[in-house]
Amino acid sequence: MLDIAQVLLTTSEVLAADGGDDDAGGLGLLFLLAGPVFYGIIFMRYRNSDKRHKHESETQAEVVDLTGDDQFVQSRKGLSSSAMQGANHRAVKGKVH
Amino acid sequence: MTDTDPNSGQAPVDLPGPEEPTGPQTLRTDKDAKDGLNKCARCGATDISLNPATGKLRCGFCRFEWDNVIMNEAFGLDKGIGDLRGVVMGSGSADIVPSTDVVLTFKCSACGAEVVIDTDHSTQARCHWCRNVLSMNQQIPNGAVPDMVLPFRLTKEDAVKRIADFVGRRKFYAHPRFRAEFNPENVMGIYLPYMVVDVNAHANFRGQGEHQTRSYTVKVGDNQERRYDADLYDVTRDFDLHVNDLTVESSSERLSRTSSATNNIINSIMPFDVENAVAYDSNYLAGFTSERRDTNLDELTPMVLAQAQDIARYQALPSLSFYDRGVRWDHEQVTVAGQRWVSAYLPVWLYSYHQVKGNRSQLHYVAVNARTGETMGSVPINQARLVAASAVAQVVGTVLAVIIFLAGG
Repeated sequence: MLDIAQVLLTTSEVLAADGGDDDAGGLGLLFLLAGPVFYGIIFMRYRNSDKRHKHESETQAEVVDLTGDDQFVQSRKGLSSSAMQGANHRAVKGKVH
Repeated sequence: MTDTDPNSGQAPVDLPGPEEPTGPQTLRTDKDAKDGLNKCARCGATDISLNPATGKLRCGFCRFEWDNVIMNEAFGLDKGIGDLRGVVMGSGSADIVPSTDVVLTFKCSACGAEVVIDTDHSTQARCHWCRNVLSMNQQIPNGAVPDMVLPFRLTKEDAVKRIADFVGRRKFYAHPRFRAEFNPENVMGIYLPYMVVDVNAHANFRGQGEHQTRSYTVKVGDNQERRYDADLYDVTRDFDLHVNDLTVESSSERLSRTSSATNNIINSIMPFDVENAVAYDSNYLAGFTSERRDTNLDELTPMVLAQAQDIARYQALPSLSFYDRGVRWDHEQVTVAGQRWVSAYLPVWLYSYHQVKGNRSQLHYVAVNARTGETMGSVPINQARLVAASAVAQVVGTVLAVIIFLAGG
């Protein structure tokens, strides 16, 4: 029971820190999903099925003669997403597991 | 040279061009190695094993200790990545010839008896008659003798403690049978097979990036919603990439994504400090077991090149900090000019638990990197208890959600 309280408290703190006017609705929705969220968190903590060697960042590598050419294209207004659509600069395709 | 659509999910396979060496160049790493009795230089005994406290080999009789040569120093494996052309490989990384024996018979030169070594699990055996230890150090094409070995540094006591601590923090929802049977003393020291690869490549990325210029809220119906303004740029990055000691598993069993074994756990305890690996000597395996390499360079190459491309993508990140909303690469080209492959045995303390669920079974591992101490594991779950606790969480959550919605009007 202590774990359940901790999970709900932690997630509510995360949402509260996020700011914005939809906090109450988001928090309410999260509480409605408390069961599956709790199950997922505990499952991952015990089974660690998402863990793998992060070869992309944990391998020594050196960049030599870096050049770049960046050209302004246009300004975009009123975008609803906080991240660029289709961004793949952190994609990882060589996962073993 | 191959262009790759970054969304295709396919790794680029860039083969050396026609001006480069036509076949792999081989580094002979077992030049001075000999099979049979490997004697202490001081007293002539064959009872030699690793002293984890010093990382040196120690004679069991006269306590004389000595070092094996460090491979980076002997073969310059940490140097000249930018000069690599074509494929360079250690002689212990050669392709496995399927007809090569796995169980080998050696004649004991002390008493003349025949001694069998099962290379699936070790490269040493003790003569039953004269008690001398026979070693296999010369490479034959069955994957049993690698180019180098990284000796155990963590003691068994240390590994037992780390495993007990790891599982101890995951007891409440652990399967009751696992809790009853868990005994970290059963941990085994295993040398697992890996390939350590240096890559000399050239990377060219082209795409678009966005830089946020403004963030604000707008009223949509009764709600406030956040909106963003951003500048869009065409972005290119072009650079040479020198990858040092990219390490991949070379056992088909460990590479398998089967649900019957938690292989990701063993994968997750990398990286190892392979720069400290020494020339192979079977005496480092005394008291431990080993797993024979059973994959060839050709089978591992697509994975290594895909990982090199991932590394290139991540190495470009520091130059992209201006694009705080992200970059979409439309064109990725990683051309590999040279590769250097060296096979290695790397040390792992491994606790295994075989869970049987009806007619299915799963092997759970708790693994400790025997150099860095990094520990990861999979603990079988008591599903009934976890589902019950999740149901309680759901009830509590639903009540709180109702209160929040009512309070919010």
